[in-house]
Amino acid sequence: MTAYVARRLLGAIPLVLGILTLIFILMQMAPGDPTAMYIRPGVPPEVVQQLKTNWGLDQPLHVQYWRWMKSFASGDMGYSLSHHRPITAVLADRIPNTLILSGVSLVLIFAIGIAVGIVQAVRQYSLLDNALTFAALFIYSMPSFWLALMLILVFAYQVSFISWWPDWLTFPVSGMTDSVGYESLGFWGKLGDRVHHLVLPSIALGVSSAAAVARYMRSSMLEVIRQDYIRTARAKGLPERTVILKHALKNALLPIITLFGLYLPFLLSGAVLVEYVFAWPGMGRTIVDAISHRDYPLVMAVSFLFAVMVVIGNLIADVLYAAIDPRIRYD
Amino acid sequence: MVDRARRSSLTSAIALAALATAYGCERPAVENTIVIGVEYDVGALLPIFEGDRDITHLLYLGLNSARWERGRVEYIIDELSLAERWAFSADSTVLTYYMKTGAEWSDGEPIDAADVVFTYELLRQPEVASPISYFWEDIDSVVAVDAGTVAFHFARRSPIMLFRSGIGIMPEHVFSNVAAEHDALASHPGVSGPGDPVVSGPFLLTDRRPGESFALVPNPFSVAGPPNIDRIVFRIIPEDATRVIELETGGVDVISPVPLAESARLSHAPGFRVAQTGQRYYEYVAWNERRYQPFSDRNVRLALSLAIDRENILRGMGIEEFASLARGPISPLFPQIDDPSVESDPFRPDSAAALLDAAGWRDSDGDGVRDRDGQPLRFVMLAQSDNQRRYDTAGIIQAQLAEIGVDVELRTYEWITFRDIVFNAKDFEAALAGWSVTLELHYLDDQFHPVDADYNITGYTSAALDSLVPAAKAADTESEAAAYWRAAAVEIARDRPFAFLWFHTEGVALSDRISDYKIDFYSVYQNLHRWTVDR
Repeated sequence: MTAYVARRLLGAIPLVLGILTLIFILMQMAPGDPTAMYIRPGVPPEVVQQLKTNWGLDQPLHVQYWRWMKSFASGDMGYSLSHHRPITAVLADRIPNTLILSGVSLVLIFAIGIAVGIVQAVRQYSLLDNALTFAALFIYSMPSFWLALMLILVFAYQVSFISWWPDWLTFPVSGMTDSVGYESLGFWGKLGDRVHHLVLPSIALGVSSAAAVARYMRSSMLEVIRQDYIRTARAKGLPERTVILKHALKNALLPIITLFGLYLPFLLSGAVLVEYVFAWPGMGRTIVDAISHRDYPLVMAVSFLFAVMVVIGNLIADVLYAAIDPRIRYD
Repeated sequence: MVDRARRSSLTSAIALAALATAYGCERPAVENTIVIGVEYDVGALLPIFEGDRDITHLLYLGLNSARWERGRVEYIIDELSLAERWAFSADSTVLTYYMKTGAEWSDGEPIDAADVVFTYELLRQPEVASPISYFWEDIDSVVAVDAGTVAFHFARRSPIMLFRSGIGIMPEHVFSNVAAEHDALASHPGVSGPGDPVVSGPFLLTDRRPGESFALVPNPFSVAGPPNIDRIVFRIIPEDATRVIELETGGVDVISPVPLAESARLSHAPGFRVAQTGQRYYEYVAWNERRYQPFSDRNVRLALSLAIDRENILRGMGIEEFASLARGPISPLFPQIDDPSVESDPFRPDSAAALLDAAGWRDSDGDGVRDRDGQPLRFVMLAQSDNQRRYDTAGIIQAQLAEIGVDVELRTYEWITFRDIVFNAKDFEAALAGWSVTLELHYLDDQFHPVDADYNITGYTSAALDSLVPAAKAADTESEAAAYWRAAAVEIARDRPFAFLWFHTEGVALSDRISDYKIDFYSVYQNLHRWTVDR
């Protein structure tokens, strides 16, 4: 297994380099450059030209590429032209924010998706199954941006006018913490405040993917519970809950693990629209702002991280296969 | 396994209930604090980088102060000035400032004339690449006469001497060890990222969380005295709808800017007021005669302008209350330059059609598009895809021009690409764009004169402007310059290198808790230190 993992990691190096080279070329092909923000009446063109010189944008493309690659290989991710800070500092600010939101959403996606999928499979063709299928398809087809605004409208705005509605069920409109009193809270107060701020964005981010996972889980579980060994377990007189949760669930989870691997990069990439709506300073906003400012070094650094996460996500999924299914061996 | 699942569900529910209780019990009541929701984070906060001027002027005081009065910027000495008075030499080319005694930086170091000289020397270093490096155009030298006196030697007397000598002063003892280079200065702690900068204004910048928030708290060392509010938190809320709901649910006390479409509703909603910054933004369609030859005919430009129903567009978008029809390139904010005899182009499609007929553009082949010498009157108009109002406006104008037999193909691009094509490469036929008006009128010079000016995007040329603009720039006094600028503006309005559409305001919505604010064309936060809040 170790040799397999090492082989996969080594094989990923040219892949990541290829992705980065492609992104570098695409960024350079896009109209405009980082100095575009300075182009406006009153700003002398010499200033724009000086910035190009300062940032090395007046050098030939291959020189720029080689210079970037050399500093990147030496562990220096460079300097963000829009944040005016080292990229490692920018990422150090944003990655934890994204991990918190995406991590909670990921738990929601799989917890809700698996639970709903099991219930639907066990009650196949019942009224509950049909209702959940309808709800899952409805939620899945809902744009996250619209869902986020609706959640804010109902659970932050409308309920604030209901006098008997409990405060703790009136959720903050946006932000990660209370902007005024957070620092004066104690440990539990701070934790409560953070959880309170996480509820709406994590639901907005996770619920549609949970609907998708539920569909996968339903079909996988249906396939498993028709197998002979499940019939045997029932014939032995085991309670239905034990049959489903202990015997069927493990095998039904195999395709879900593939999904888990595919969702892992999402931990870092965040979600642009949800981050915008909830004013969440995460990686999604960072990459989109970087692209719109033509902040080449930041785009390259973030793309590198995303590429690595995709490779690692796929690798983890493959390793988990082997861990769960004894029939799978990597030599 | 089932029991374990039940136990863990029960434990999670109890933990969540405990957190909710702890959070509910601990929520503190905070007095004398306000929260302002803004669209963008601030950038590099240094006066020489000019960006976020509203905030930097509260952190780094200048020698003089300014305010917007009776259609012009007035320069004064007040609590936000580092100087206690100024004096001109007999020939008016030397402006000497006498600085307040006892002024200190927030770290307790004295503020003196050396800081002023240092700031202006830094400003002109090429590698600093300051967008306001042109301030040195008329300045010969800046000299520290003694620790409390500094003299600006100008090449000649001009109306902009007070403006050019009024930028925020930076602490020499903090920045003298930093390389005089753009990124070195911009990345200094407190300028762009976490870190508390050494400042002179009434506020200290603190708790800066890039992309999320920053706070202003009183600076006990400031010559401006203590502000009325103990803590002002700026929260970055990029989405318009979220910002408005935050205001309405009490999450923030102020939002800036208010989306134009929400301004009318909020200004009539109980509990809020909407202050306007004045009609400082204008939108236009630029006709690039370098790329599309028919635009070089003044009558064609006039016809296209007459075919646009501006009033109807504003009404349709529900923003007529916050915009006025443009009568040329001069904002109604400048009464001494805005000539009231110039009128905005009315919606007269019949006259437009007649003008095109007279110019030889007729629909000879019956395809609905006018043509001349076999060439159809057909061009591409660019607009921004990420500005909904301009995107919608472009679509309506396309339809209105089609009514008089002009075929417009609409192409949209995101802002940076649009900027690159229109303002950098100038590679377009027509473009719907907009600018904000600056405090100085040099935008007339940059955009319309001379023909090879960097921002003359249409290739417009005018013999009248060739004499009027140099005369305006050479004028000794403001009133003399104003007369030339007014004549130049009339000329531009008559020639219509743009179809001038409208000037519009930008609103700032405030909770009724806030009072004593002064918000106008000059700045939103110009007297933030004097704002008060009901406790």
